[in-house]
Amino acid sequence: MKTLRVLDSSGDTVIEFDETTKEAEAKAKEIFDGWMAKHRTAFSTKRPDGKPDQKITSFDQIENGAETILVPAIVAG
Amino acid sequence: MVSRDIFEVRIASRDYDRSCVVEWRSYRFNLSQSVMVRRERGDPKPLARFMEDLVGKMLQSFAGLRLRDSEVMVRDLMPHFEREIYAYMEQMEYAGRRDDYMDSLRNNASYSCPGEYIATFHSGGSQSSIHANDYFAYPFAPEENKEAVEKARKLLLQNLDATQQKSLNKDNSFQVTGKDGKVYQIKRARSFNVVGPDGAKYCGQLVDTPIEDQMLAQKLLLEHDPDKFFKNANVSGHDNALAGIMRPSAVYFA
Repeated sequence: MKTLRVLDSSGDTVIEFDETTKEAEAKAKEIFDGWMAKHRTAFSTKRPDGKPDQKITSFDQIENGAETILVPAIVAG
Repeated sequence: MVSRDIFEVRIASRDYDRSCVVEWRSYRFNLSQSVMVRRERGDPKPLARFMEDLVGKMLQSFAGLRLRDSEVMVRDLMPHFEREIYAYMEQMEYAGRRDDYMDSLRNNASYSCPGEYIATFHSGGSQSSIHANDYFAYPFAPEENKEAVEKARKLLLQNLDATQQKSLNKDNSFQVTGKDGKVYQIKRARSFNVVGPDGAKYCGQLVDTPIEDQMLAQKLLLEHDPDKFFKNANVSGHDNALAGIMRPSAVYFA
């Protein structure tokens, strides 16, 4: 199972999907690609086999068992 | 007239990244604070004037006291000065965003930052209880959604190592080693909550998320994409952290 976590006003919104849940996967891809089109950032966390977190830039990099955190735009305060 | 050694505020521009540095300094009290602001968020002069009203008038009122007494009092007030100046900058940012929303025709930066500007404080009298919120028609007062905060804190803790978790639970802050090899402290606060090893404070916020989400985003960005964080953050520094970018020449006016 793959997990997208979108940081938002509720804390975060979770979308879980894998190859068998085509509808959820399509929704996740739409969200991810839309996110990247706005020059925002995504990080792969809790990766399998204790691999370190990493920044990712394409939907194909989302791994099974990992959590991908989508970070909204950082603005100066 | 009060001499320049009590208080002066200076604005300097940086053409290469379109930012301005606003710095107040008191030679008498041996104190200074510099903040960097993005030019597209408008004219930095009101911030300089706010510094004059808040800090300058306060320092002036202490100028008649014995130097040692006044130094102690002013140093005690530094956290208050910092807090109010950061709050003012936050209001500038939100006011700018509101303007962007209200006026979609306003594209790109319209304000032209002056090359350099120095004002020397010398007006009479003192004013008490100056707050950043008094300077804005619609002060921003974010409300915390308790449920969202708990959820965000849980997610943040899941993404911290044992030492960071302990530190967050104890002090509401934790340290992170950035991709640049430097150690940053991330505190639970909305504004200027990232502190660098040189004491510089950075303010890069998420809008409409709990603070814990902001802390997680800052951690991930510092570890994996620090350029993105620093490019979008305002910075405030003491002890000449920003001195290198202030120009030596200046035009003075009062």
